[in-house]
Amino acid sequence: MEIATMIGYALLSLFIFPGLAALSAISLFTEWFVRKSVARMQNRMGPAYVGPIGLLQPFADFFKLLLVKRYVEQRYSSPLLAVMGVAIGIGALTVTLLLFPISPLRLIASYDVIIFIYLTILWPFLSLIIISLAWPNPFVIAGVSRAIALAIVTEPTLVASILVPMNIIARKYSQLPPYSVYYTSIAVSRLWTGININMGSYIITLILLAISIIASIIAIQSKVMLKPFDIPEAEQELIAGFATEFSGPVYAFFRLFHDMEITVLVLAIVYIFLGGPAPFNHLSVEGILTLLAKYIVVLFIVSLIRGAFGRFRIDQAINKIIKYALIPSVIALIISFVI
Amino acid sequence: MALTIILNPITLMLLTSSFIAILIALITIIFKAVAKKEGSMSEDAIVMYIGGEHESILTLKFPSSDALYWAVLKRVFRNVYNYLINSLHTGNVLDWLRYMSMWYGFLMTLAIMVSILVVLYGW
Repeated sequence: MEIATMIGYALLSLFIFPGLAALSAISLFTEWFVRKSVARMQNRMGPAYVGPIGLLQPFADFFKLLLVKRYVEQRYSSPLLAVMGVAIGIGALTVTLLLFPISPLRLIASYDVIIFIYLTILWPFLSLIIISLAWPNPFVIAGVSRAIALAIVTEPTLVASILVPMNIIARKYSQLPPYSVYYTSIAVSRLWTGININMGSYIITLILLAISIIASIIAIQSKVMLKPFDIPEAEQELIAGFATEFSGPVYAFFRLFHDMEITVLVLAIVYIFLGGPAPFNHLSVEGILTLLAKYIVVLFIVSLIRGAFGRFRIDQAINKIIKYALIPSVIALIISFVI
Repeated sequence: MALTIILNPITLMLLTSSFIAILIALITIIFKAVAKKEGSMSEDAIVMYIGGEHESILTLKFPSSDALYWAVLKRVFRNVYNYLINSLHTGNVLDWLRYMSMWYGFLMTLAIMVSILVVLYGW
């Protein structure tokens, strides 16, 4: 393969699809979907004015904040540090997509789940802390300390639940590179359909997958700080928590980063647990529709939880995550080593 | 159609990190190009927002972020915390010794078992 072709693929994947441009567009659509569906659940209209059924409202919000509004500095703030923090988060989330089969340039390695964890779980969290502390404020400090306390249970839950299908596939299909995001996404549909698996093992596998999907959805809800886990932001209680002092373009980028985090994590569930466009392939109409349908269903569940709950107190939230997500996912992981 | 590249994990880590560096540079440039800063810095703009209070309120006693963090963790793990405190801090030095030797004994047994397995079966 010529080096120029590889660079071409890299540029296409990084900047166009599924890179910065496409990911931004999907993220803003995701924001619209969450806002609209939660609004309908709460008997409100939701976004309605810009574009058909308000579809372009998040785009309008983003460009207004970016181009029209100005950011307000205070004595201790460091806007460039905040932007670097956002850029690290957006960069890490964008590059994550190169590990999935959705990308024209697919990067694969054995044990690349470690890189997935590094890109999707470690960097976005660190960048959230960098962005927040670039505008120091007592509310921000309270918000960040809550976010760190929540991360202690959220991140292990997410890792444990993602490792469950990877582990099952690594054990059942030893000819594939183990713990690879790409091969897990390709092979996971075989676990659901039960090809070449005996009945007892099939039922246990389904139970393990179901437990780990539920655990990962709870972990995602907590990681992206949607209700009932919006404790670090805690509108009204902490003004806006870690986001109290954001304004103008910094806030625009921060919102985009937050939307991207939801998008990439939901896509991760769709690929790692549900097999992406399976049983079809990417370049068919059925495949694209299946992928879209799975994405919308997972996103709708996330919105439903957000619409249905009020905010937990921080210790209640940590207890609930431990009880309903961390312990089940760790048990599922241990069982997946045994079967 | 798609280009699939199989790498070793370390090369992949370096490659993804360099891609992130490119995106950081791009986003920072976009921000520098389009962002507008508040023009006139009024007195209101340069102080931090503390619910309308003056900054001098911060000289009062204020819980640090560490204190907030540990308060949450202690509350969540109160049972574990109480168990540890009660089993360690009984006032009897023998209780403390028993507790510590129990853990050291466990770790020692684990280390010996692992060593034997490594010697027998290799790494």
